[in-house]
Amino acid sequence: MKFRSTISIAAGAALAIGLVGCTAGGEPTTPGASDSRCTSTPVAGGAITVAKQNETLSLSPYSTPGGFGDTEALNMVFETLIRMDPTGKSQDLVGGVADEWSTSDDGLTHTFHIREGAKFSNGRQVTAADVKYTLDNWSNPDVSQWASFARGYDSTTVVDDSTVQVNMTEPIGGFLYSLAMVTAGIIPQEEAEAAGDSFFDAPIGSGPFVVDEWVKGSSISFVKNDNYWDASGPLLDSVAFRFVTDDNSRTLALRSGDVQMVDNVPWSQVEALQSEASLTIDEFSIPSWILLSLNNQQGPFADQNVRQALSLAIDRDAVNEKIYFGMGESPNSILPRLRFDADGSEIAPTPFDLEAAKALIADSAYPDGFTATLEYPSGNAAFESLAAVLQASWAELGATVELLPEDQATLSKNFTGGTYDMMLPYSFAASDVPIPDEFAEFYGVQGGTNGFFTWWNDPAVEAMVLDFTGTTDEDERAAKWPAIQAAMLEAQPAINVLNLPLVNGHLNEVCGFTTNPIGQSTFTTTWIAG
Amino acid sequence: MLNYLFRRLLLGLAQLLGLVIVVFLILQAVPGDPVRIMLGERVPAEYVETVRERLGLNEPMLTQLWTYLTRIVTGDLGESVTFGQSIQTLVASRMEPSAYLITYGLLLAVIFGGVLGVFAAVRSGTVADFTLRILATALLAMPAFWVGLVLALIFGIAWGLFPVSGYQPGLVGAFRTLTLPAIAIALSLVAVVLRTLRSSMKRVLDSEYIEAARARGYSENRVLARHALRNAVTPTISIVAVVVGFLIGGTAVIEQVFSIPGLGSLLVQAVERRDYPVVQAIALLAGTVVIVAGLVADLLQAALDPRVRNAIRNG
Repeated sequence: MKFRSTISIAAGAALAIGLVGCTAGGEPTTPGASDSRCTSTPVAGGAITVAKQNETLSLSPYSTPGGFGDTEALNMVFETLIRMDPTGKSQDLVGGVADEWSTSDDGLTHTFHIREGAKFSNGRQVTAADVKYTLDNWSNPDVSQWASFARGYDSTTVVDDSTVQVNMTEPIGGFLYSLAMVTAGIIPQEEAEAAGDSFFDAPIGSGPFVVDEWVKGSSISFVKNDNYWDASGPLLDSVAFRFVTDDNSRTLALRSGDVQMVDNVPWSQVEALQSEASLTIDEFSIPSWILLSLNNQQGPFADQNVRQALSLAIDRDAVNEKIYFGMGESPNSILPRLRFDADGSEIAPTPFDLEAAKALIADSAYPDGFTATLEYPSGNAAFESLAAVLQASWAELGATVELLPEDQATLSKNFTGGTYDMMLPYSFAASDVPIPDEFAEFYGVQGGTNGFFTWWNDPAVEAMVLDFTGTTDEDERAAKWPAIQAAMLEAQPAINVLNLPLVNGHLNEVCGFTTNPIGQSTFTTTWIAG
Repeated sequence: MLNYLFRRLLLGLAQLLGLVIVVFLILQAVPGDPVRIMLGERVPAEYVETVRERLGLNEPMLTQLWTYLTRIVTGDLGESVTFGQSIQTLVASRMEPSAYLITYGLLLAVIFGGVLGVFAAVRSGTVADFTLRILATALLAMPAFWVGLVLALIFGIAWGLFPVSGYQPGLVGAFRTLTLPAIAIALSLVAVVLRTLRSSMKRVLDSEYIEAARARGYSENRVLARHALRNAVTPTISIVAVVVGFLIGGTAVIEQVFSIPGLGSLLVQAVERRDYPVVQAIALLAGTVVIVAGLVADLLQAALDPRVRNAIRNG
């Protein structure tokens, strides 16, 4: 037993050093046989149909009840001032509607120059007034549900037709990334005001594609925006999303050739699809993880020893191999892999160490074990297996864990209401930005989400987080983050079971598909091999 | 007759009122918050409260029920929290695929169940009869979603005859996209139709008036169609009317498996997202269909059977 733990620590560390160090991004790593059809020069034209797990319910950047289903579609139609790298090659911000931008030394003003040729799909040039209109709405909680991401925003000053100055009430380190979220996509003022509420049924944006037809509940299709500023722009003539919620049906649709691509390949079918010669399975490194939340208000989970023990008792390598086909990665953070993260040589990933876990339990207020429930999404084969593994692992620590598969609405209610012991609240958890600010604040800063519904709070960590999120200089931020990463991993308010990639599948003739660093599909470089 | 219809109408309305109240109470008992689901977990709790207040979800339960009842009386089904759309528009846009699917499935079940039921009754006691009944019962025992996936694998993937998911509007598109799902829901119903028709048909075939008809020298086909089937079919009609209710329920799963944008998949989505007014509206619609189907079955029986006709006439 002792021997085995040592090996897995070594293996875990090696894995972490190998992977944590490299840049996350949306360039695919193809584990299966690489396809030679994509080696020729990309050709323009053609169409693609993608089976999507999440339905598009809204095309309004202000309100996204459909979650990923909405943001993925918005990302086609709208463009933000600055963008997360659409090729996913880096976590840096790149130009969008704006081609140049700068931040004052005190971090209190950001100046943006609007790109000449940045046009809405109706051909009208984007103006400073459109930007002001958009940002004022975006930051207004009466208009936008995403207003909390605009923290620090004070006002926008129109300097001239193509220059705006965004004024801040306080410096916010992650503000530019918030602006790069598609929920801050630039909306044409005149057109939106003229159309009223119906604007968002067929919105006009300045993104690479335009909505062609939206059949609610069924599909949404886009055609290339001929007015898009980037001449190298989309190669495809059109892209269609078909909403196929059911995991089996989605992969069947790909295998039958009804669609050329599927997103979120269910883990239980990765191997079967990999073995099909006509298909390619792509992995994208994005900030996604298996979030295991602990209710720190509840008996044993208020005890840091217990929380650490629970994490140490998980044989992550085995979980990764058996359930996630080795595509996951042992984490060295309670958060997914994010920018500024220290790598595995500085902060070691949590090893599998049952002896250490038992010792922590012996030191805790619960040396004889405890009883608790673990809630997780029903109908998810991977989570069924994972929950059973966790139950068995924790039984070794004397914990009797009752497994409760539940529907998403019940999970959400118990999670946000704090009426749970342990929970895997999401089938798919991912950060909205590739930087730590979003979840560092959720976990570290009181109020809002109550430590992302763990009800954990440590004033010392809170001060560090506020200092970090209030710093705008990238080098300073990079220097400040690892200490927070380490402190949160030590306190273990929640457990990161594994970092996971995004897994897509497509026919071999689909080439050049990328996602941005947070996993949103960008079809601008995608092409179909003849 | 009019008197009868009027009484059935009143009864139907009372049933619908009961249905609305029961569905309302069940939804209240289910944990989950539509606003939280719409907004996600990443917005502050205070903001969730503001939206709940705006949508009237913080009112006491009875007030909400009363508001709802007074609204539907005026024909206003309200607005969907999830889809941000009036429920009338939403439900209307999802009606076509479901209506086609239910009709298609029902037709398949009645035609195949009917033909095979008569066949089994005529060949009663033979190996064919026995095999048919075993087969039908086996199909009845298989879950429709599983049958659906198997059909998709065979006809969609292996033979490439039909698409495995999605829906195309119009008759031709509907035929292409709904054939597999319709077979999936019809297969289990074939057994119900087959069994009821077979047993009543068998009873009728043993009766003296069939003997008499045969004695008059009528052809066997005429005896079967005019004399036997007409008498044997009434219990099957009642069963089919009840089965319509099950069919509506069955479409929820099948539409989900085949990604058909109908009322069934809308219902699943509305329940998942706790979009109460949408669930209510679909329940109301399904209830109406079931009640109307019952009425139509009674009238059909009356048309076919003078004894039923007399019973209705005499109130």
